[in-house]
Amino acid sequence: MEMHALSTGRKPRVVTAMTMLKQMLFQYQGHIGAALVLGGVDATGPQLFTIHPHGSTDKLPYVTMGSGSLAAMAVFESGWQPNMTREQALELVTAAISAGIFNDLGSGSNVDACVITATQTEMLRNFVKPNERVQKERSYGFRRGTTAYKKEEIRSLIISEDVRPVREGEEMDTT
Amino acid sequence: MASADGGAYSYSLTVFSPSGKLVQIEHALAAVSQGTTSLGIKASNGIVIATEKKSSSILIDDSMIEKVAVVCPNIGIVYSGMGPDFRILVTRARKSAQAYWKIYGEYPPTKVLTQEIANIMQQATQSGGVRPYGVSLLVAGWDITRGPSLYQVDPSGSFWAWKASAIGKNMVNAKTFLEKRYNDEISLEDAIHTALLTLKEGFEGQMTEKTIEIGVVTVPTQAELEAGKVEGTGRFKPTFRKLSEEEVRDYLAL
Amino acid sequence: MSIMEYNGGSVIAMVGKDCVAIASDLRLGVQSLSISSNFQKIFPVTDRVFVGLPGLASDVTTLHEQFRYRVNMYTIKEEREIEPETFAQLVSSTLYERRFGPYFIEPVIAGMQKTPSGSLKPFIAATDLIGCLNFAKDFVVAGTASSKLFGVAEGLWEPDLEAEDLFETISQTLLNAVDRDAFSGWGAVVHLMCFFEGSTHPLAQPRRSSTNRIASPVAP
Repeated sequence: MEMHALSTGRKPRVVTAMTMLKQMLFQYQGHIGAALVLGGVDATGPQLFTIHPHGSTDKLPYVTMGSGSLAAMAVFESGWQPNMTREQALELVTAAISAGIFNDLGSGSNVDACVITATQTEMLRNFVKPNERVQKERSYGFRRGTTAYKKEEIRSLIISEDVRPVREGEEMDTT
Repeated sequence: MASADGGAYSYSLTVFSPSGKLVQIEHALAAVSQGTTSLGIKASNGIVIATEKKSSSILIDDSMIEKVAVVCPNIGIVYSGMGPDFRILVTRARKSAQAYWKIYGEYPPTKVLTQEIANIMQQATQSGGVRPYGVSLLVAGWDITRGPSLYQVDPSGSFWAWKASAIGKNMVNAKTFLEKRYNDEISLEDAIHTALLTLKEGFEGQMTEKTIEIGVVTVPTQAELEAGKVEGTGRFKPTFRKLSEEEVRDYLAL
Repeated sequence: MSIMEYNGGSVIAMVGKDCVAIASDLRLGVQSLSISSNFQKIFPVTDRVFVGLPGLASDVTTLHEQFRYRVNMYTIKEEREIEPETFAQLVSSTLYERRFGPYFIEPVIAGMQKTPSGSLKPFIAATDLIGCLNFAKDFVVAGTASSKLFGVAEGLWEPDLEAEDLFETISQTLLNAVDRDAFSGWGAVVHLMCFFEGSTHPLAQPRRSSTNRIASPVAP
């Protein structure tokens, strides 16, 4: 992809990435178990694809993948509408992923989101954390000296040190 | 010459002359010294590489010509000599940088990439059925261990680090000019101007944003280094970039 | 029977405050028969990086040699020592080379990583047998006792442990987890790396240093 962008001198298109991925996955006949949702904005506008491990692809206005995809698709089928705003879309994908987190046993924890516009990509890591861990009831730490050991070996490694000369002006004459 | 067994010219092997010279390499260097001038200057806060881009006819669409090439986000190269040979080396260098990235999850240090290119060029001096590359390169880049560094690679595959260097047609004059102008404290802005002044010395015709190409290495600030990778991209901010035509025009106007 | 459980063995790594620890058991077995109680699974890569290789014993040796070769080549070519994160990437790409016929090893990497300001910060990572990296902030586990290690570590580990406390935490986590795993145990080893900053010598100022400490804990 990088080579393609450098040699054409243009920004790569999403279909290019999709085609490269599907050709590679097809070549491996499903042995590379990657199921992908590919999204991006290029010269031809916003694009959305899914790529299955065997290399088949879909181009749809809303897509889901993974074990929680049925739960998520149910949310999309009822909530999606054309030309949604950034906020609406973000809210919908969050609701769809949350449906997977709570209804599918294979999906869990937090929601990551990613907003791609023509100019920049915004990675929203842990966008929603509906399963925040609570403070531990108590600390189970062991007292120092609990663990007995037979042998110990210590090595000291000095990374850097500045040495200050004790008597200045008495350096060796090296001229 | 065209005998049935192929004759003496079937193998274009680079061979030693009785006096210990590799004549093919000297010819390659001659090809380089006929090429347009390119130069590089290492400044205190970056590096500039520049070249003149002269087309033989006004009918040629010079927007297609690219003489300063980005190899990876932290390294760029410029050449003097044969354009087609350069294109092959750029592709090889880019592939090498991507291969390095696939192994270590980061782009190669300038020295390592320079060594890779130098090895490719050396192999052409010792393999059968090929001729040496007809180019000299200036490789400029930044990395965390060595900071900004500027290297020159010759057709023989030998390479050196420079504070400032010039290759191509006017290299002797340009180098003398750079020797007079250079100091260790020079800033990147001053270095760009010095680069343009040096090119001007041997320039035939008008120096414009269409006939000059410039690439710069900028040293990331401590804050940028600590900020680490750019959010969403998983990469560090690029340290090498080519100046746009507008930027070149602005530097020429000053 | 699973190849991953043929020889047995477990490794764990934990992050503390300005320190990091990696520990393993010392058992080598053939299914339920124990052969050795002094089988090394943790190897030094540089002064600041250690790698733990639990899994099939023959692949422990093969991979250790493979990594030694690649790290030596890196050190010579680049004229510098490999950083923990770069080494983790190297481990990942080395394992993925064998995507369809993998080494039966789940490596754990622990080290002190150079920061732009010149100090050192703890780094841990683990991969599965085909090189999928997991950069954790707290602890990573691998081997036949991994499920037990997860449970005990989840209970004992807390943020910003001092070196002495980290030693107790990782030792007790390992010891108690391998006691509940038939394929792991028979002795243990802990490697602790620490970073100190500040003047400790009248002539040296400022001074940065680190220590590598190896201990062989025993169950009470």
